[in-house]
Amino acid sequence: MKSKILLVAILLLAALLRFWKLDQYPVGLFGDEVDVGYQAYSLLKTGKDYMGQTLPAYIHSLSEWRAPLFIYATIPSIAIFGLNEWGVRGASAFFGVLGVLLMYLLGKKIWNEKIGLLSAILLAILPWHIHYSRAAFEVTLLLDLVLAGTLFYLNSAKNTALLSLSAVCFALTFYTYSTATLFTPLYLMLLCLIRKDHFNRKSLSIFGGIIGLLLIPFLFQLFFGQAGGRFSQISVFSDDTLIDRVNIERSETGAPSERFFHNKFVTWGEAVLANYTRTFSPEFLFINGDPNPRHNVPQTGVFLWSYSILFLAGWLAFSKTKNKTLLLGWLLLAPIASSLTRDGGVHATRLFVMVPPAIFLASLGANYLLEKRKLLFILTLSFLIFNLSFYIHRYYTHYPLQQFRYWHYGFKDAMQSIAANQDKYNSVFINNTKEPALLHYLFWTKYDPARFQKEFAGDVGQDKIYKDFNGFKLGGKVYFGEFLGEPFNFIEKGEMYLGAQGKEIPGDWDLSKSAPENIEVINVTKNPRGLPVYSLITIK
Amino acid sequence: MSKKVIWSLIILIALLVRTYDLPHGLHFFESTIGWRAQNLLNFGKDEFGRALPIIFSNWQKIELPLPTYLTLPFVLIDKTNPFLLRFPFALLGTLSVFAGMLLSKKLFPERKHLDLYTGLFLAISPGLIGQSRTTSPELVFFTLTLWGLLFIINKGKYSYFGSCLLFLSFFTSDISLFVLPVLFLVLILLGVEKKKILIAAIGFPISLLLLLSASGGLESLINNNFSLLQNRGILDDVNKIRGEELARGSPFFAKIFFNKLFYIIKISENFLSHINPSFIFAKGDGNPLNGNSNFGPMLVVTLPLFILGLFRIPKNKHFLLLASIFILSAIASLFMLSAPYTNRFLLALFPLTLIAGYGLTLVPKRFVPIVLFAVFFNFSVVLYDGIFKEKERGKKTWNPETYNLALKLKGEYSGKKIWVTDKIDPNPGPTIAYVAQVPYTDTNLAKEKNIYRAWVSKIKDIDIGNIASYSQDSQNFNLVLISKEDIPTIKDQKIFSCKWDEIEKDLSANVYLKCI
Repeated sequence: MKSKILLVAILLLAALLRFWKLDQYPVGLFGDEVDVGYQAYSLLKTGKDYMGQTLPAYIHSLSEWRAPLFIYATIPSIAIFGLNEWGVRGASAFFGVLGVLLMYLLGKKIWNEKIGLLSAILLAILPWHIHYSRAAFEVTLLLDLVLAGTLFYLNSAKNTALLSLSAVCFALTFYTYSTATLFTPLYLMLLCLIRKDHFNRKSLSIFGGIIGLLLIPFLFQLFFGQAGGRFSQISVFSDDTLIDRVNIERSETGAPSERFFHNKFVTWGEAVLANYTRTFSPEFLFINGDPNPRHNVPQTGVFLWSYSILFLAGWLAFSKTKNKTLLLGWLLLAPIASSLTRDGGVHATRLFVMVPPAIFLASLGANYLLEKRKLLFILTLSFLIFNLSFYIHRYYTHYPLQQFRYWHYGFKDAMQSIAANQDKYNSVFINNTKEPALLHYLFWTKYDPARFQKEFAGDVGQDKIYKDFNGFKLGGKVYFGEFLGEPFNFIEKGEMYLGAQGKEIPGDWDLSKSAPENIEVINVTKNPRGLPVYSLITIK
Repeated sequence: MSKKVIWSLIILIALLVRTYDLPHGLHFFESTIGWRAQNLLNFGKDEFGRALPIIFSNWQKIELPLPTYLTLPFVLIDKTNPFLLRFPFALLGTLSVFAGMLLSKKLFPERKHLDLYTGLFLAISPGLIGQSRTTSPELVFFTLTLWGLLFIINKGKYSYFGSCLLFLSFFTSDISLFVLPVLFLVLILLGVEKKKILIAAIGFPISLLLLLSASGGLESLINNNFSLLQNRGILDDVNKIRGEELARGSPFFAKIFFNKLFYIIKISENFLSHINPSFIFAKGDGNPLNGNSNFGPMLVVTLPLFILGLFRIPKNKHFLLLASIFILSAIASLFMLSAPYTNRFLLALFPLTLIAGYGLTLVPKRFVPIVLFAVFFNFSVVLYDGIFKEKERGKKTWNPETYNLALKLKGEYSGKKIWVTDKIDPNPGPTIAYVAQVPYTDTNLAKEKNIYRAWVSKIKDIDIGNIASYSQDSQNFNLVLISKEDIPTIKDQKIFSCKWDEIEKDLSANVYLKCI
């Protein structure tokens, strides 16, 4: 009973940390999020993605082909909350809380109830997990599928139904995020290795059969479609700088032996190993995390500092724990897929599958301290609370001020003011060179997906598509691009222009305070520091 | 093959890779020691003219005496031979491998072949090899400490020899002042006799007093060990974030979260940076002076072995000693502005190689040859890179141009008026003085006090400096060595009174000019 109450409290805390002010923090919806939202909206309204494919197995977005499951999973929250931040991020936050519950169940299954509860609380307050649960990233769903798949698998001895569910979960990971393409097969091998006794001929054929069957569309996409496209863009094997390095090294002495030491395979190996070792560096884990400010709060590791004590204790407890192979194997396999990609050593999204084993290790450490070093446990707990409050303060106070640009802050206000005014104008021009604006326009103006599917003819810019405006056109009157010069001299009556600060509008010139005489300022969007970002203007 | 033969092979490999094809050129740390040794042998005085001093002053730091005095017998054989100058360090590096083998055998007698594996990994550790190929005080510290540990944990009559070695360790490098006192506490905790520790510990106050009594000693100690605390950047960052808080009207949070505690965060970051597998196994600190700048102090293929050992070794009773040595090694760089440094972390190589070796003892016998093949392949890549590539990368460190110039000055330009830029090598004086065996009386240092940051700017008729400082000079020089960067200044400002003819370019396109 006591543990049930504790679990409910942990889930409530997890929900609080994931849902509180979800519409305001992070401060804006960045490009990939609006893409998810508008795809889900399009599927909800038309049964097609916004590029017009009916119920696709891989979704066609403007810039890439995306794994579909997370987008399909977002449809219910878009249906409930509408096309806004709650709609887009609600699914992710929900999967985040679900992940906490699954961690509890898996920890309880593998070790005991106490480890389950410790794992749940340590995941609930983990910055890495909180961060990804509060934005529309696919990886919270991926993690849930891996956790659920493992849980069903470990419970499936003599239970074919659970084994089938496990197979479904693992098969679905392939449709969730590209890391799974390599991670899931390796992880399945590990699971098979630790539970050889699970399988007889029948169960093996069920498990393999379900996965195989569900993977047919994916494999088709992988070999004949677009599923492998993203990997080829980001993999170290397509990194030309590595080939250049080989050539430079070879030319330094010109000796025939150079080929033996400096070739593609050695250099790729070096790159992959460098990535792999960087993953386990304190720099990534505790100090600075992923250098991309969208992936974590800068100057904050993916784990709180206090987790380092728990890891250390976990390592001490490790030799006496059971299920060592699963824990260590999972921890060591998780970074492999990411280390095959450029900057994969510190890419928090691609490394997300290493969250559970790391949390289990920390939980074993917490349990060890709780049982054998009570004073140290209390000190660590105090440090953890301070650490967490510091992180939360930084997340809600400084992160929006310092990194708003990475969250494409300003589009919401700018596009909503366009939506409110565009009927009064014959032409609308939108700057598309500061950040790609089309999806933000579609999303925030709730553009009818069916209409978009009919009207959209491509987003490749053309010179002087309208007077001195370079860009592309949507429908009858909306243009995306940039004027060839000072926009104040080009726009005419009946035209509205959304100019970007730093592009058409120099420096921090605030048009709401002083605008050229002939210009009427409809709206100026300001950033969290109060400086202008976008200005919507027309001619007087 | 008998174990003794394998031991001898490992020692032979260790010595070979520490002495073969040493870098062409000399870092000024090295040439200062060599030149100082010449003066001590010739006149019984150091470069400042002080008779047999027990503390020295290099351009960048105050130095403890042992490394310099160690070189004397070797410099005596040939006073201008860089190989002999570096040889005692190579020898000590090899002896440290031997100590590592004995110590691992002593600590883990039950693990068959662990001594061999530890010895092998130490012998081919890129970090330890790098430190053994230069006049590194940290290498002397490492070797003495390892031997000291080996003896002191014994209970026999030779254990006091361990105390003496640890006592001597205090006179090698200033990192000893951070590492050894804490190591002694750990040894007491582990049951080593306090009397033995006390004998060794006497070295601490003496060494500290020596350092502090030297002119500029405190400054040197702070600059070279506590640079973090001198840095304003952290306080500026804290103030910037506090400004954001004040703008929001929340000074309470500003004080609670953003204050001088940031130093603790930075210190913790410095500590954790040593646990970075990328640093240890892949990249190192990138400084050619501290080893091959392209590789970590350990071979990358030993990483899986290390992980394997790491998860098994905590069960062992000697684990505490190993963990302490590792942690202590990181302590030496805690207060530095940036960390880690391979040379300051050198002591950690013992537990690291031992744990990797421990991991190898856990590998099934039939796979051991495959692992060893991978280790040797990895080592051959490092070796190849060291022989063919590192020379180019390490040019700025080993300054072969300065060494070539020094040979030139010793020969054809002996007795001529020469001017040398400091752009190619920040401190070329010691190398020129070392190669030409210049008596200390013929340099500007003879007139200086033994002060921190004093540098050689004049050797007989050779002037060394920044080209701008000679812009008003009307002296006629017979030869001028300038860098690529100096050429525009020379052309624009007509610095020297005669016309110049370019007579030679070296590999880095630095130019020799001759007055016509």
